[in-house]
Amino acid sequence: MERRTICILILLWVAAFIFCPLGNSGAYAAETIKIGAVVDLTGPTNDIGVPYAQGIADYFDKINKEGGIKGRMIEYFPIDYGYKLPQAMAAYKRLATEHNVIALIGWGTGDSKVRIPLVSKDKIPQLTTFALEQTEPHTPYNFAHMISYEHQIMGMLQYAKDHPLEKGRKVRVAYVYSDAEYGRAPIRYLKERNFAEKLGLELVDEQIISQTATEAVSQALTLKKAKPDYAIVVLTPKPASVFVKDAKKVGLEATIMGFSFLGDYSLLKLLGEAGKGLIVAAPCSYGHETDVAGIKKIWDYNKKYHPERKVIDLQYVYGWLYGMILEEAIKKAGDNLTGEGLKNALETCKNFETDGISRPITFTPTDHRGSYEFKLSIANPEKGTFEPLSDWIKVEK
Amino acid sequence: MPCGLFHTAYQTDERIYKSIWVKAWLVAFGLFLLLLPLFVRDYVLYISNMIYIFVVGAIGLNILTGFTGQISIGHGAFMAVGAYASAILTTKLGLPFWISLPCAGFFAAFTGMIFGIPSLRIKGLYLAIATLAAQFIIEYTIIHWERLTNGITGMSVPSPSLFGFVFDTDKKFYYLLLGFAALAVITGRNLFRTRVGRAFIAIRDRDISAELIGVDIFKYKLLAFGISSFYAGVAGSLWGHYTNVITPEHFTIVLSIDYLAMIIVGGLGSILGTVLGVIFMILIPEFLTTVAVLLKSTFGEITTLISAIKGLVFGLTIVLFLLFEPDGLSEIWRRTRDYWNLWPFSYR
Repeated sequence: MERRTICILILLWVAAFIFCPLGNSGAYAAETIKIGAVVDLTGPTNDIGVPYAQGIADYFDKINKEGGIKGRMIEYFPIDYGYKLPQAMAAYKRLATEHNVIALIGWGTGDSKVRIPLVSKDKIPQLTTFALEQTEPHTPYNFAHMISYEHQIMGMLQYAKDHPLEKGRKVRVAYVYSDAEYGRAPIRYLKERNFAEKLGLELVDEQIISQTATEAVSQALTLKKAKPDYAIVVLTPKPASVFVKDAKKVGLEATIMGFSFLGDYSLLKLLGEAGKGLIVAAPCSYGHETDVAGIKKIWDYNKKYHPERKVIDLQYVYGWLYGMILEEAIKKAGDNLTGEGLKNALETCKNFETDGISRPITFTPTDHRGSYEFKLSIANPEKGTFEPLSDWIKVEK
Repeated sequence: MPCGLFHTAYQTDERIYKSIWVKAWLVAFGLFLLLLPLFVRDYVLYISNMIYIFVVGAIGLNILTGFTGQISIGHGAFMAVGAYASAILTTKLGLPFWISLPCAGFFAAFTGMIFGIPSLRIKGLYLAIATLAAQFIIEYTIIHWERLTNGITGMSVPSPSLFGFVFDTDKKFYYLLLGFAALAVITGRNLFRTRVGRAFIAIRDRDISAELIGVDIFKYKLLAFGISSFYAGVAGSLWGHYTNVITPEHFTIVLSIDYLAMIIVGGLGSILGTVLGVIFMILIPEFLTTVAVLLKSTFGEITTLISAIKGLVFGLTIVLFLLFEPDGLSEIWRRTRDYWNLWPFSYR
């Protein structure tokens, strides 16, 4: 008899899975605002993916605790895809057709790119962390709030040019980047345009580090032979810590400059003394800069609801910022709260103030890059934080 | 009422439809699958389509590993060969999908046979390592042959069309993939009623005795690699044309391991088991995601935990199946069916 019960239960579950929509759970009324996110909680980038997802979730939680947006609650669906494309696709289909979300927050460069034609077809605005090719007409539903990776690198190259180590010769630079799409794409973009050479720099070497690397001695040794003054690193914290450590081990003397995802406290902890002198690009304020009004708000929320949290990562701030932008767009869209209405509302965001977390954000119908500004920080291993090195740097479009 | 099936000739024993009821149930199941898209949402269609694609690929691996006994950890790479061959043929040479699909299959089969050559001299663990090499060599080639494959960026692949009818939605693709999956099941099932299929099984059971009774081992091992990779290539081609984008990140070692897990959980040496294994392995992560979404109100810890549990469940499933049901889901299915056959008057 037991087997019969099991059979019937399995059949019932399969039938429920196939025929019952999961989206309309009874707990919430139909008036909630549904927002989805495809995030990496278990894949190779989960070291920074988890705080990012947490930042988004906490911001929506804060809105709901304060009574929602004009009385309407936010229903937020984060789905983990483990940095795997098929699972990202399944997650997207689930969010778009099952939960009928009106906005989507993405994570990986590769899977976000794959979704660009899909979100245009389904009319669901997508906010992503990368900002490549945002201006092209075929990406009307793709938005990025922070300065793109390639613009960060342009700014860093400019900084390298302005700070030569030796007068009288060209500054020597090298690229070190991940084999994943987020690393290859910006470097390809810059190399196709010979950007470094046009600035009057000498590009002496480039090294590719695997996203799952556990050592990078051979790359560091080759790099050392090329004698760069500056090594520009496009890696997430895990592979970056491997590279920086091995670079110090083999005695690479170049100044290491990292793009925004290197601004990570746990990376500094991993590096210890090796992190000294590391320069990092920051598109927004760090969690320890409590004199910034927006950061203070984050801490106020966390002290109240998550008193156990002692560190606010940079990625948490990115996630939080997405929540702020979406809230602004939802308010602007008013009653026209559809994917299309939200997209049009986003495109009217002009100089949206983010309480100092980042520079004012502007989207227009032809330019979906929210910001062209960032600042440089320098690592302070003793304190385990990053200290400002430059003021906001604006990169030409 | 009969209380069992009695065969008096080998011919009836070899039959696929052992009784009229099997046929009737199959027809009913076929009708159910044909009518399914009318009632369900896009998400279920996407999951079904994934299942159909992986059924094609997993049957290929089961022919090689389950029926011929040659373990392969490079199946995902052969799928990549098919996907890229098809993508290159359709985008760079402008061939229609219907020509590029078999070409992709044959190209993958050819690649598979090359990597199958060592199988004459080495078996077991050593062959596993040789096919592992195939996985890495193919992946490396795809990533670095940028002029042909666009490297890590991937290629965009057009949707197939037939006389102006474009298969560009999940629903349209559903029927296309259902057809291919059915074809794969039928050919896979019938393969083992032929001379070639019996030779495969003879090699698996004991290669020396197979050689003694006159099976050309080298030929049939290579053939097994070829047929297996042909299925993988077709699956890869379907996958590429379905998602419209392929990158090397789809076809890593993880995919090859997933394939192995599917046939182990389903049942080595069973076509029905392959299908069940694919369904099982694709539904498990989706089921866990559903649980995670239902518990969403408390994000933080629980969502992260359930996401992490996915990997744990995956590994645990394989270990538990190997321990307690080495014949996989197909054996569970057989026992359940036998139970219902005589219910409620079972005398066991």
